[in-house]
Amino acid sequence: MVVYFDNAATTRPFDEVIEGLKDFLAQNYGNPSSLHRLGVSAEKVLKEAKWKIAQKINVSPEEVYFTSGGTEANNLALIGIAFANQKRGNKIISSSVEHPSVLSTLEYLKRCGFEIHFLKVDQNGKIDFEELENEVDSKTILVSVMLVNNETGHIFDVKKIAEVAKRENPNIIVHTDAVQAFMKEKTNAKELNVDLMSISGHKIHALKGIGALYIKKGLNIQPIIFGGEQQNEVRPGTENMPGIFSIYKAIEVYERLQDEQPNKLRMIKQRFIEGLRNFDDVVINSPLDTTSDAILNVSFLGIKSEVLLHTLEGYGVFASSGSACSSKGRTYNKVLYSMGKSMEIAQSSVRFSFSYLNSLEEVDYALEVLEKSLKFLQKIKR
Amino acid sequence: MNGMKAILIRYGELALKGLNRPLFEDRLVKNIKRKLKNFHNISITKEQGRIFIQNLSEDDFYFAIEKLKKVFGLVGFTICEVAEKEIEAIKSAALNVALNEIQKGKKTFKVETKRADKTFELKSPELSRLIGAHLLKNLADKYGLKVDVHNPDFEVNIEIRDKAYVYSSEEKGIGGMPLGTGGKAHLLLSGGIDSPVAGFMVAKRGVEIEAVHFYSFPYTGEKAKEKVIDICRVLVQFTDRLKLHIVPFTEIQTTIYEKCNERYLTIIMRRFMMKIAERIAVKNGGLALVTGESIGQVASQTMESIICTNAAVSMPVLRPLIGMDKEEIIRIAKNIGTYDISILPYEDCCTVFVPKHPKTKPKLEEVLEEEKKIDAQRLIEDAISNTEWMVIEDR
Repeated sequence: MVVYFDNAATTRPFDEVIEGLKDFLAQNYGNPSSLHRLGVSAEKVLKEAKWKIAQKINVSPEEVYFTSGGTEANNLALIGIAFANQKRGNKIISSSVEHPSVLSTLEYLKRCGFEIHFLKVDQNGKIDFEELENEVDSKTILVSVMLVNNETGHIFDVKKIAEVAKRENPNIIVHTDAVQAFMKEKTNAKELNVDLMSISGHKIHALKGIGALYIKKGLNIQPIIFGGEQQNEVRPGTENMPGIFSIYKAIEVYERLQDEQPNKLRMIKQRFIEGLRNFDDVVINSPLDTTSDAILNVSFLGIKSEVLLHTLEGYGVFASSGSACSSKGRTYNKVLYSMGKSMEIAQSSVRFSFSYLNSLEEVDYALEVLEKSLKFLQKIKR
Repeated sequence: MNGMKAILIRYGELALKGLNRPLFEDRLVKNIKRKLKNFHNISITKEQGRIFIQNLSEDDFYFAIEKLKKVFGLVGFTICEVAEKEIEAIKSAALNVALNEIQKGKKTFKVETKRADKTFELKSPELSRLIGAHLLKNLADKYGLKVDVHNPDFEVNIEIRDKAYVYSSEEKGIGGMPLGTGGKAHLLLSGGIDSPVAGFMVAKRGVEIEAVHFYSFPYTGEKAKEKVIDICRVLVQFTDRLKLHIVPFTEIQTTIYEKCNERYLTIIMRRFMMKIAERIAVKNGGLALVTGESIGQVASQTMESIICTNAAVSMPVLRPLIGMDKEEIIRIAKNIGTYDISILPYEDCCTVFVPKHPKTKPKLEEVLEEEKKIDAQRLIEDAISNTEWMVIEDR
């Protein structure tokens, strides 16, 4: 039995996506910029896909820009806004638990002379709004905080973050990395009051290599790559049409599944957490009420993440040890550690992440396998 | 014809080998042929203490050079422009050669001609003068090139043979001895920084290397195995091919962990590795073991620990890094290209089972006493009979 519980890393494309692509690749291969019929036919798909995403996040289709993925969307948002708005100030505020595509981009901007402040995140995955208030000043041009943390699933109150930041300085631009949130949490850009939002295709059963950035109309942004006139020259280059088709199709399928079983992910996670209550030395790092239903991060105290991961793998259960940080021979989860969790918790955490293709039976099987594995690993526990 | 190149190869150290010399030379030629097997039209010949590679197109030439830089036993090579035996063709080849030297910052030159073909229209000194004048006319004003017959920055050498060969300074090769002239040894390859370097050092002395890796699923994962294979892929750029033995090690590790005193874990584990590697070596014609140990680097590499691991086998154990500092090892690892792979953060067999307070000065009698608690013979037999192997080849 293969149980894929690593859906926050990537997902298996929906069958409808795979099947639809075959015809699309063979027949609809035109360049959407071409003036002839084949071009127009491709352009139609492009427009439909923009419309679909726009509808999901409550923006206009022309505010949606396709990128090569979440990483590029985050790069474009941060670098594009920072350099285009340099005259107004040079300070950027973010959080200490962002995805590497945000953290590394901010490190780059720091080397370019921008002042970066990383908000602390506490053990409950919350930022301190007082700290935010104190940090926002007239020089601050951008605030970027993720919607759902990829390691723990913690949901950030981006709505309140935008509210506090804009109250302090109305010119502030707010970006949110919604890669783990799109199709899973509320991603209503207007309600959240954000000006930019990054999403990715392969986390929602579309292809790898496709993502999108919502850029609010009228925002001052500069491109980070240069080329032809596609996408208002904000993101030039011939559009990745197979990717764009796949994201369109995946959203369609996702919507249908959500209609059929609105609470499926929550039921899966709940069942998993209940099952874990029978185990000793388990710390749940993703409580049901403050984290995404799609992500369950658990520490099995005394057992190294990677070792448990491989043991589970041996039974066909796939999970993640998270983005590891290595120092002095110890491997630990960076995000958990920077949230102030103990080294013991950070060294032994495993992330299970769910999707609509999972089932409750799979949870039961995983729990069974976990019990076996833990019993076996007790032998080397210290 | 123009644009064709030849490469002249020098192999210094081999000259010392007396009667064995032809053997070593033939081996080197064979190794070079194997490295360049994908270049179909070239000719590789041995003559008068040099190896000559001919018929290289401009395009192939740049690919071939990269391959040759990784052939052990090759001390230096000289790149020759090959021209027809006509004055104009030789002039243009000499100009190319001189320009190449000028790019390296050289300013003064002289021309030397050797004439094997005595029917050539000009005598050697005449041709030298003619070419020298041509170079000055074209390059003196623009680059400040001057003649200096006593102490030139570079020489333009012309050899008139079947064709005219024009060349200048020699580039350094990697050195060492031709692979396959030094027997075979088995390398204990963990995936860390040290062991690949140790393998490289021994291979450089002409020794054929096979690698032995200990795999402890689930304590180490597929990525750790892939990492070792990737390291082998780098090593085979030098050794052409390599047999990698993958030994299942989980049961041995857990048994030691359960039954033996925690403080002796690492030392006993290492003794098992040595014993298994020795068995594999014997079966595969290996004459020695190679490890990446360096004195004092970690607890299992103190003199006392080395004595204990050494006592596990009767085969000689080569430890080419024994006197090196970590910085020196890292520098070589970066040079050969294994470093970036080695530092990938996966659990490996040495990091999972680490005692909190290992014995830094273990006594052999105590270690042997501890080992009596486990059925070593059966564990080793099992591990060896379940060992898998694969051959990794340079592509």
